[in-house]
Amino acid sequence: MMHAATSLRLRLLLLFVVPLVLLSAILGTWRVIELNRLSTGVFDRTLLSTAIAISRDVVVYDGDLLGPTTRTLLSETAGGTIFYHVNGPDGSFATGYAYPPVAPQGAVATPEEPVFYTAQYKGEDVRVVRLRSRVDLGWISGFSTVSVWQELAARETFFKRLASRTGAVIGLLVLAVAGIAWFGVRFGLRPLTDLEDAIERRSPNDLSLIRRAVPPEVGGIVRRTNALFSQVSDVMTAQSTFISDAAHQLRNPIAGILSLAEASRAAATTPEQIERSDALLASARHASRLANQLLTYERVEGSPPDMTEQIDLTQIASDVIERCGEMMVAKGVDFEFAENGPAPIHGDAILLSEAVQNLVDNAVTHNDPDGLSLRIETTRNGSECMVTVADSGAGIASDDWARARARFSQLRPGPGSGLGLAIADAICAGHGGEMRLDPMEQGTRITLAFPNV
Amino acid sequence: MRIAVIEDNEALAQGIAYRLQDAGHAVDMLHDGLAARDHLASEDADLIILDITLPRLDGLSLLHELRLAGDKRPVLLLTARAETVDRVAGLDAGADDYLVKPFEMAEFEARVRALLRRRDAPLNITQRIGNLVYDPAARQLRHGNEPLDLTRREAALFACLLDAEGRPVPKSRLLDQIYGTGADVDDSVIEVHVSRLRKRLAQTDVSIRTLRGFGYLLEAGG
Repeated sequence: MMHAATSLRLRLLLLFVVPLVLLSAILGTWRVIELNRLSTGVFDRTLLSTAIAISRDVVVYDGDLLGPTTRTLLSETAGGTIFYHVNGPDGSFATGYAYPPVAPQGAVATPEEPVFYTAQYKGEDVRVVRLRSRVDLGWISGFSTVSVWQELAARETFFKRLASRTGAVIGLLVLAVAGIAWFGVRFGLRPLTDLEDAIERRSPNDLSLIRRAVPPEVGGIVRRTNALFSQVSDVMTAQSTFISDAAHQLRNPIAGILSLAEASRAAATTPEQIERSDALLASARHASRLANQLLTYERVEGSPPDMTEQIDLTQIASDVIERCGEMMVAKGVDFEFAENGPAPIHGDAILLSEAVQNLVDNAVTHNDPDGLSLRIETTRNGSECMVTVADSGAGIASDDWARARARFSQLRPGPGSGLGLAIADAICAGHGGEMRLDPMEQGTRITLAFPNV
Repeated sequence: MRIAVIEDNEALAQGIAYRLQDAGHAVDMLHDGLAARDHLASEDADLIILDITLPRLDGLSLLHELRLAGDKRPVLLLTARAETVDRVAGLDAGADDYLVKPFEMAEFEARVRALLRRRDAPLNITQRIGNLVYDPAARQLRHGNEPLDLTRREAALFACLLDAEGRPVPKSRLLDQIYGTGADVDDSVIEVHVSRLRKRLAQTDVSIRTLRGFGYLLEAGG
């Protein structure tokens, strides 16, 4: 079993190539043995036919000479120089080379069957065939022995060349298969990389099922991933519904508390009553705002905003100012609105004014409002429509920006809910826009930028 | 004035009732739709505060029934936040105004005053701010017992700011009020009128505050 972390590519490569190498080795060996047998057979038959020709010549030319045909045969036979030795029926040397290679024991030629053997001749390995045939020369008759031999070097060279070619062909084949496996695996695994992209595009906000066509081999993975996605989605929906329901249920009693607190404050006459009902009212307002912000946050995070309507960001900012202008003047905020004509975008007017309102509330809540400069600006360029809220307060360091935007986080202890910027950020993102902290020497300047229609 | 508060959140209804009673009104509290229908069928009301979400009979259906029956009493509809559809439906069903929950009590009181004023317009009711009294029918402003002379446009400007109940009014809307919607007048004309009106108000405790780039609001005291 291979280690689980081995790359698929290496794994498949090994799976392909190792058996292939083994199989090739077996096939190659078999082929070499076969070649050896084949070439030995071919050379031996040549040697034998030469021996037969010499033996016949011995009869024809009375044992002394070789005919011209046989001589041609001797010089043109493949496999190197041929040596021969002929003994007459009387056992004496008749013609050829004087000393034939000695036959090993048991290698005895009979009239029916020639014998082949390997021996030494002048220090070289040679292949010998010995033939025994009956001759009748008139003056003498009996069995003549013909020995024909040839050096093995030539046939070995021939065999080696054949064997090495075979080896080369098999080697090339193995390399080719390995190469195809190595690069083919990458190609073959492309559906998996596609799948990876599809999974990568999913996020906690988008756990939609993967619907692309996949090879049957990964169908199971996709089915199970989809099943997991829908389970996680269901759990998240249930949780978000719970939070939303909880905030909703809390809001009603809080609205009651708030209105009763306002009524108490209005009826308070003694300084103690006024002080205490002021504190009660402030707490009730805080609770009310928190419950509402939770609901808003849930709504923004839960579903994409309705983008069908075209609205004017300048009008949105103007509405927000109309709503909170009295509060700003009462608190001593030095306010300025700088509009630069219509800034049309697609989006949900209520959510967008909530985002702008949150920026204004943040500026007033987290700074001393008396004497605070607050400037709201709307601008439009080729690609974006922007609304900017800038104040002269304490400011946010760029290092703190990520933390400032997180849910329930506050840079400085204060009366806010810690959701204001998170909501503005989520609303902005939901509209395909971006919330930016513009670097300032003093104060905070936050821009909500949206795509121009 | 007698006001019917139809709201199933009893604590909220009680809080609203206290504020209205403090302002000198008589309040009838109803907590469900059917009880409200019975009450309205037999009892008088100068204003109806109506929540949309009610048990037994919802606010929109009740409003629809009232209008079908020819009941013209002013209705201030309370809608849950961001339910745009509800708001449109509410105005279609014949509500005179709507307020999105949660609302500031000051805002609520302003809407109530506006609706009561609208109802009583023929009776020449006067509006007060600080130590000033404004008579919309006669377009006359009095400082204590002294009448302050205002031109027609200054009076229109003052009335518009006064109607906003302390909220800022954008310049464009002031222009529409003084010169009529769509009049081809430059924004800066407003500044001239505001500056003149400020001089007239110099001796009073009412002042006009500027929100740079936006508009003006009327502030009493100080």
